[in-house]
Amino acid sequence: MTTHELIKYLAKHLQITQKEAKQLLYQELNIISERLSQDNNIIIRGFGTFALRDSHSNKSSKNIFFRSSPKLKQFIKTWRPE
Amino acid sequence: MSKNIYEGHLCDQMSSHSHYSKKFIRKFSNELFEVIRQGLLEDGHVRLHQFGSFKLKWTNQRNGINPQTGKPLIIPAHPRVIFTASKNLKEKLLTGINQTDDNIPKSPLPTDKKKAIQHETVKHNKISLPNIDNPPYLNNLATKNYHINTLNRYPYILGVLSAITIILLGSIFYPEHNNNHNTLSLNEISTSEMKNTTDQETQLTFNNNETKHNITVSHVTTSETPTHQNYLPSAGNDIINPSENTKIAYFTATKHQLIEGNSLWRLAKKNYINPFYWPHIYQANRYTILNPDKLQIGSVIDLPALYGHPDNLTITDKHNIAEGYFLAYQYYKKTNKPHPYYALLGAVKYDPEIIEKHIYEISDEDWKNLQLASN
Repeated sequence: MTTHELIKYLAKHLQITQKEAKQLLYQELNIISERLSQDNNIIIRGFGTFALRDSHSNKSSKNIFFRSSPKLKQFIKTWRPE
Repeated sequence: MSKNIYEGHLCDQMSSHSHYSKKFIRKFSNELFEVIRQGLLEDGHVRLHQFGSFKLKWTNQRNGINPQTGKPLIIPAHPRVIFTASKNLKEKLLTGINQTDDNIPKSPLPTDKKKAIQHETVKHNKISLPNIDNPPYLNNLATKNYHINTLNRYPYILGVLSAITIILLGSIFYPEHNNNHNTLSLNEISTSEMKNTTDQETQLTFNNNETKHNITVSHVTTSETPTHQNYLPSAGNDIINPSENTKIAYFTATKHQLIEGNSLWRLAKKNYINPFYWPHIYQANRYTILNPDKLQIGSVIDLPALYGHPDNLTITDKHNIAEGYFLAYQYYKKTNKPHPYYALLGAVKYDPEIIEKHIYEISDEDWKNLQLASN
């Protein structure tokens, strides 16, 4: 799934134009990245958490770390690789 | 220090800078993550432009240990979500982490009050957060949140208006307490210094196009004042001293670094004259201020503009500003000192008649005259 497909789906579901859906999506993603850069843990219930971890090779830099929530794990359980 | 931030906080921040309702944005964010979940199931990957991509990976069965009991355990094969950040996000993180809170320039504590005014007026604009250096929403903030903010002000407006009317009525119905009267022309008051009278009341007369007006002004000094005024907030006592004031954020948004002794109530008193506007500051900084009773020293706060550009004002805004004129004029009458509101608009020259008569309905011509008088 790409961003274009996602925007199409959201616009159809929420009955807004694609332009508005695009604006809202980028706004939300920007806020998440802004808050991540201030060394905060972002927790989204039913989806997972975004956090920063010290990288093993270079201690001055940090890596992004995503942990999926139990709800997501159960949702995905039926998936099988092709 | 890492803080935990939930999706509700993100929605609050989004709704404060957009014209959508909070409910709708909450619905949008819920839908977004549901769609991502479904996309993962269908395709196995979701790519988000300028943010990153989610991917599913299959992990084989392996042996493990139960950490609580220490018994061996077989972990079954299961899918796993992997997130890889995009180049854009990594660059943002690098710029964000290197600039910590220690790098914020701290304004030096001034020694004299006279110097403090010069310091803060100059240095208010220079303070800037590293992460939110020049946010694009700051310019359009006043216009976007316009309708929301005016609705919240209505109860305060009504309270202030009722107080003013009752004071005026009280001065009319209780003129018999005092026998001594002095007459002064209004031109003397507006231009020269007001004479200090030992009497409790002074009578004002001024001419306007072949008509005469008489106004009695009572000094709040003794216990003989009517009982109405003891309960009501008088304009002179509530408003802060002009020497302590530094800047008024009526039409322009500014930033402020918190020092010891600051509170939202006092900041609103300083910057908006009326301390009841403190929720206005709290709403703008809803994200940085988690608890309005506990502020962190050193953190930088946005002081949003109350109104938009002075040319694009509605009737309700004009009423609010006219009230400010009225309060400032009362303050000038009582203390014989120019209120900072005067300093902003230079409103010593304005006609008090216009406001006293048309405080509810100000026509466009009168408003133009007010603006001309201020310039």
